[in-house]
Amino acid sequence: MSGTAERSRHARLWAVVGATVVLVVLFPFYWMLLTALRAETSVFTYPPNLWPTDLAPHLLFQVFGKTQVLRWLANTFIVAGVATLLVVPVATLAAYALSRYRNRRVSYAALLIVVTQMMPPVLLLVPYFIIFRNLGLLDGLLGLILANFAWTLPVTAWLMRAAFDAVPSELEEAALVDGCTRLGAIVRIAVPLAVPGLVAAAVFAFIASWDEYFFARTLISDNRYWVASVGLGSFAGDNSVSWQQIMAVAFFTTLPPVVLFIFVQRAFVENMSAGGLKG
Amino acid sequence: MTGVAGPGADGDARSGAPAPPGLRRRLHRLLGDPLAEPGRASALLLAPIALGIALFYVGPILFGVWASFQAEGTAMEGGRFAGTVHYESLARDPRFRNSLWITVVFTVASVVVTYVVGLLAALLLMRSFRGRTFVGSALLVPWSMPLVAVAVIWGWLLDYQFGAVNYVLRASGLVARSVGFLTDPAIALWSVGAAQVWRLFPLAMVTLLAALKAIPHELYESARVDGATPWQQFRHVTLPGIRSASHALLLLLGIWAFGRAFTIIFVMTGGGPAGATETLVVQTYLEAFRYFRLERGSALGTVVLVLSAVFTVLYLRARNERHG
Amino acid sequence: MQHRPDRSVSVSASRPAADPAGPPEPPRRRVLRGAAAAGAALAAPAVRAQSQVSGEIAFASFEWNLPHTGSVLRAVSKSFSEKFPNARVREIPIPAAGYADQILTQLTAGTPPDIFRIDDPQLAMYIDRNWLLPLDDALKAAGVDASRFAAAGRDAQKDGKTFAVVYQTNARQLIFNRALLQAAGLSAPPSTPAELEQAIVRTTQRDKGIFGYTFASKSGEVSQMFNSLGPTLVGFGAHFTTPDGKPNATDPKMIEALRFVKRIWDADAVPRGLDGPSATKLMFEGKVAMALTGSFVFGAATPEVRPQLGATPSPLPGALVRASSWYGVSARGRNPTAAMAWLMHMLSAEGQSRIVEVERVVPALPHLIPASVYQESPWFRPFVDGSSKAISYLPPGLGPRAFGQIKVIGEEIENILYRSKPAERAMADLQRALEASLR
Repeated sequence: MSGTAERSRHARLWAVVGATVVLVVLFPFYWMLLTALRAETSVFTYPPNLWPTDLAPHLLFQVFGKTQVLRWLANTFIVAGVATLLVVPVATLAAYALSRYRNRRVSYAALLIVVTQMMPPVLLLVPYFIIFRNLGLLDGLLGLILANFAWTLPVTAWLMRAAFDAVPSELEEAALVDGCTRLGAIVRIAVPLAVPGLVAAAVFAFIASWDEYFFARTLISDNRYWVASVGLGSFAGDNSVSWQQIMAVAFFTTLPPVVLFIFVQRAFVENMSAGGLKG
Repeated sequence: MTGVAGPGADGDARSGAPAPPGLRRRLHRLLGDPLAEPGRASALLLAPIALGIALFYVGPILFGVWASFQAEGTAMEGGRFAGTVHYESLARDPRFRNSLWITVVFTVASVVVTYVVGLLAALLLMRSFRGRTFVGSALLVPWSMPLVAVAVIWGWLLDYQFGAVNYVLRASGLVARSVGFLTDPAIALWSVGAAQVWRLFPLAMVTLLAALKAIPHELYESARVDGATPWQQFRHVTLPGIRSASHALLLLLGIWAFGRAFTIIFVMTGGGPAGATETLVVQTYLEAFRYFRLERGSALGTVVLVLSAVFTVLYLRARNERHG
Repeated sequence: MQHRPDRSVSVSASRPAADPAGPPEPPRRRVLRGAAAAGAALAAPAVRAQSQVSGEIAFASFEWNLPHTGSVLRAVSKSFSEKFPNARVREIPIPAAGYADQILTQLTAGTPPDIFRIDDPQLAMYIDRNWLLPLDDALKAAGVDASRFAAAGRDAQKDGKTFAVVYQTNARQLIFNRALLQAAGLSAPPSTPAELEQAIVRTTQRDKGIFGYTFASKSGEVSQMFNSLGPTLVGFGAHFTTPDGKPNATDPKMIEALRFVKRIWDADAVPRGLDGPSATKLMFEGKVAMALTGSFVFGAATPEVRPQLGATPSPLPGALVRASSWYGVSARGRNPTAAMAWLMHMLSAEGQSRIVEVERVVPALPHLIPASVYQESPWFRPFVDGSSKAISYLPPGLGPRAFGQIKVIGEEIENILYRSKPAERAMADLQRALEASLR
């Protein structure tokens, strides 16, 4: 065992390294926040001011009046929320099967899931566009909800499987012996014990839907139904919107996922440490 | 094994088993447990996701593959068979070869760097120091930032004229002229790759951290007792310990970088300048939605799919061989 | 938290009286100067009598977000709603980036807006594909004489029918910033190509974020690049095609023009990678010394910058170039009647004068420009006169294929700028590519 003095010297060193890394990595986030809090800066202010001076925090909330960001955030909540609600039951059942059973069906399903990750989004987008157009789903959020459901389903199932892997199956077996149905065992035993990992996977799905830009941009033409990522992307090339507004919108778009994520990250890490990605 | 008897968490499990209210028991005896038999259970449990994947992935993919064999402009109206004309056109197209090369470079570089950065971050978080939890949470922030926000912010930071990065580089005397991060074809791919790595490394960090934590202390102990240096410990204890997690991670990152990475690249550079960041996925999008050559775009997408599948099979086979 | 936005729209389902095939064209009426205003005043009841003008008009443009045009569109819409209380305009602000692609997607998908903005490259193609309704009946009923349209209006005509109306047309002159020229020691704007190049380099002050010249060069935004760079290239007397649409990329004048552009690019005298609106916004904020652009700069410049600006004929010898925008009515929109009524309202004296007063651009009917504008802005007259003589910046003779071809051309220009490909080689490659795709 190294001496205490050496250990605390190491600890200080690592603390310094950690602080430096955080500063470098978080600089873009800092830049976003800084610009969002500053008075109307022209796109072309030069030289740029890197220090936290000239702050005007009240501007942060003015963006609600000047842009449609509240509506976009509401739309995004709806899309991500409903898509996640749809994904969770389907993925949970599938994950349970992937975790507990070993047969050909399960192998095929696992293979299918891996293959879905290889598909370039465009290959999906054109058929979705055509089908949704024919079904009249392009005028509204439902099409996007379905697209996000599909988009997040495989990975969520994969992550939830890891959560179930961490729960010993003996408990369910015991319950079955006692006369419980398999479904009962799932719902009453396996799921409650795997909840941290399941919730983490659901949050992952929510954030992935929140983020999603590609489908949203193409499947929604009516700007009343824009989600936040499309709204933010629309500022690119729009020179009437100041950078303060763009960054303020970016900030509000970032806030929910960041909060959710930090809240859940402990469970996430624990979940993955319990033999998640082995093999 | 534990778990059958006993208080505590098991207590919940035990109370979960229905002490029979008569109705349930009777129903149970009548209907049986539909999920009792494993084959049937797995079939039923997997049915919803199989249906979902069939509807939303397999169906569209089959359509895409079908469309890739139709004549230009006909796929949306029923199609007219045209053989492999689009594939041949792609094979002859220098732009396709260009995007294939760019994609390979981008994939390899971004996956390797993401992995290394994630590993370093995970190793850092294994050390104990004050503020470690804060650092851990802070390093997760990039992963939760929406892709569009990442692209917009990085795009502005790296702007040739007005970006803060160029300003710092010039003001500090490190460079004489602004660096064309997004306007110099030789650099643009690395800039876009840097943004991608920044966004993705937390995933690697979390995964590898979990794997690192799972390595038993005793292995390190015995290595130390045997006189191994820290570097030797790393090579012979750490690296093997995270091997399987690393493989899964690398495969996932590789598949994503090859076939899925789109938003950051497209919003930052649009595939430019002059095609310098036009990966296969970006090119597929442009074919379909800028040039309106749906059929050719479908052929491109099919090529990406096939290449990804081939790569995965080879990778898994190589890995299984190594494990014996 | 908001729930689903309400769809409380009463869309008038009445189809237009005009059928796309169109009745035979009766002889035109000649309208005297000034009587057009009276005609427009009479038009309102005539249009109203035609069909019920009501419901929502889905109006797509990226200009809703631009401060000046946006305010004009809103003002015109407001007075339109006062005239037709049952009709309402719904703004659809599509971002400028990829605007043309987005509209094209909606048109091919069959879910187009009722009215949408059209730029030079797309106009002929939209007409050719029957995506726009002919407006002649509405124009006649409104008493608008289509022969009085600015030159750009003729671009929207095919087989004697008018398919879109000009919103604005801008003949390109050299707009310069007096203060920036003086700061570089120049007392007058350049009058020859050589002087222009020198002036551009001398007025550039990179450390202050000042550029000598500006044009759009964002990768992938070809329409915008063509729009802003076109006048410079044509100024050298160069076109990418001959008047009958044959490829002409290897014209020595084109090579000379591109070399000029590359020289000022290499000298860091122009911003790199900016899109159209951003490139011109630099000028509005006084960060650019000169640009071959339109009079709208005067309308959009900040109050501090506007007095510093001046306009003078282009120092380049080539033909005068214009860039224009049109608005048309979708053939498959939901409310074409009201949409047409809106366009006619824009063509009224009130609409036309508002456009000019706010934006200082040449509208569809130049004879409706109020005299007060000429008094306030004496520099405006050459723009108006030029707009009747100027040619489009598009490669000539391509008709509906222009949109596709400028993408091909744009790629080679990007190669020259970003990859430092020598101009002759780029143009030789372009010539081959154009010949292949135009066969």
